Amino acid sequence: MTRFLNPIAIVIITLLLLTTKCLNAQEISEKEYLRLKNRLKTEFMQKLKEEIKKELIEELKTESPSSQRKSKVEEIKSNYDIKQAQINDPRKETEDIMEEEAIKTAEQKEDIELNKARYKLGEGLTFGEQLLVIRGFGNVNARYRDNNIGEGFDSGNNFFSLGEFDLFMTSKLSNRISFLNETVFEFDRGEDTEERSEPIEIDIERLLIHYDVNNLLKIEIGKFFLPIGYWIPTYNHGVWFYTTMDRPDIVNFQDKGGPIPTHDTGIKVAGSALLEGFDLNYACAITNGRGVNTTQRQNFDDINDKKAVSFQIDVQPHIFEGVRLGPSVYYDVIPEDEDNPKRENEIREIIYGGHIVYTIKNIELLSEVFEINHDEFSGGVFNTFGGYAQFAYTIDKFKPYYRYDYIDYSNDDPFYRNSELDFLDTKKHTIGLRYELSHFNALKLEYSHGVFDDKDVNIIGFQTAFSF
Amino acid sequence: MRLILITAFVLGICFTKNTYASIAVVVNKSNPVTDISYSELKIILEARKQYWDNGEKITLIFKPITSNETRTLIDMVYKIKYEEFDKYWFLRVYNNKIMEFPKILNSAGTINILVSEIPGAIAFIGVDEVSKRGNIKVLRVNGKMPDEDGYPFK
Repeated sequence: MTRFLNPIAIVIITLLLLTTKCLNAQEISEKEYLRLKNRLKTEFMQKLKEEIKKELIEELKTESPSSQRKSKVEEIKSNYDIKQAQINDPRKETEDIMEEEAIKTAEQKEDIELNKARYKLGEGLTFGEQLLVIRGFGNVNARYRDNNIGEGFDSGNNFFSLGEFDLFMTSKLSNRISFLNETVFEFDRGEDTEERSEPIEIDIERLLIHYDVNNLLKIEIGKFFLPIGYWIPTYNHGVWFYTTMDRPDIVNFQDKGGPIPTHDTGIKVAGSALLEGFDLNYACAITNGRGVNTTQRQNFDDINDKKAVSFQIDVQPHIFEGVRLGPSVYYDVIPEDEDNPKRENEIREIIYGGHIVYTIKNIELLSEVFEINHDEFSGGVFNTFGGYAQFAYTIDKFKPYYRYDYIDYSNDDPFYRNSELDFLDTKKHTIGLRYELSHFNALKLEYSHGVFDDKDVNIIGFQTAFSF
Repeated sequence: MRLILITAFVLGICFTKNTYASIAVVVNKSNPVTDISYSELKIILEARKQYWDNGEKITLIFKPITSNETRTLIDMVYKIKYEEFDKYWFLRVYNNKIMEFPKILNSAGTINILVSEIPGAIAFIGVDEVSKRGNIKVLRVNGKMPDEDGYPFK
């Protein structure tokens, strides 16, 4: 059969050239084109038939023994019959093509109708088609340290640890209303460090309904990130978003020894104004505020009737693309703790914050400072100051980084010093390298040297952080 | 033979150089906007502006990240790596700056239909992919249509 291929190839190429030439030469209708194609095909098949016949007769006469000859004759005959059928009915293939095209068109029409239904009335949704988006974060860490940080911690100096397992859900209820939830499974040593009980804690970190009125007014009701500084409302629990292994000490979670509240329950209004020369973003929240200590949450009710108020402004000047800066302030009255004789008084808390951030292309520069002012109303005023500065530069998949953390607590602050958690004066340098193993998995290796209440600690850590 | 190889190599370098796709900016016909400045388009693409001036919510529609059109936008407007495009939007959804991810659709036909159906939609597709039927129109950018000199996405 191979000897037939050369003439076949030549004929096919000639036909193709002829067809192309015809198409280029003049504009013809699709019907005419199909008729022409069929005619050429018929002619070609007739020529082919004659050639095959000739070759077959010669071959049978000269080469094959009688038994093989019979089977070969049958094989060739059946092929010949198929070809003959195609030659006799050249429209069959055309009909097949047309049928396929009809199916495709019907499928496309179905898609069109589905999409129309989906987006009817501009609501973006129809009944039964409400979409729930679930994403999440996780991380696993390994650490070595040469000294324990603080007195309350009682563990070895090298260990593996599970980070947060964070489920993030959002669902659009209409074009202007959405729901958001962030639930975190935390693996901790538990409240009783010796017994190591309750090692898993489930925290609803965010649960809110969001009303989008326009660019200037967006309302959140529920539990949300407080609008204080940059890190808290931007990254908070998303460890995969962090360049570093851990969040800065000054914005650490309040139940992990952080001095600033990060989440609260209440109402938040926010918005953006696009002004001449800069974008002005604002956020203001009224919430239950702090409980009697740093670990007490007030999601269900509030011990006192005094609400916490936080306000933030964030400016994005157009002339410096990538720059964001602005102040924030938080006001609350912390209730007295009847069970703690050193906390007999209410405390007025005012937190002043400021951030300057520059993120563009390969450069990431984050810096924030906070001053926490506690006033016992009876004369005692205590100030805590802290902040951090972080620099990172991306080179392909690598991102080397450096951060300096600083916190200076007031020695006699009754709120921090009478807590079960350690609030330590901190001076810490961290250098590290982040490597993007895949789009959704980052490996981080870092070294920290810190002085925590005059205790020197060196820490080497490794983390694999992912999003799913 | 060597000459052919060298010529092919040089031509290869010339043609593999970054070439931007010609992008048509299409919106629903009911949208009163007909001409948009490049800077305003950038603000919309960055989700800093989420509502049209007539109050309609802006719905961003892109072709997949592998398409020349979306890659051109990433290079020109977002100035990030292609693989960071998902992270860019995920961070905005995570910190609740936007309510949902932009729509990313494979077929230009479906994009044309969606833009026809969603009053506040804005999509970025190839100039030759714009449907002549349907309830859509192509926006001028900086006063220029895609086939005119000085059009930014050309």
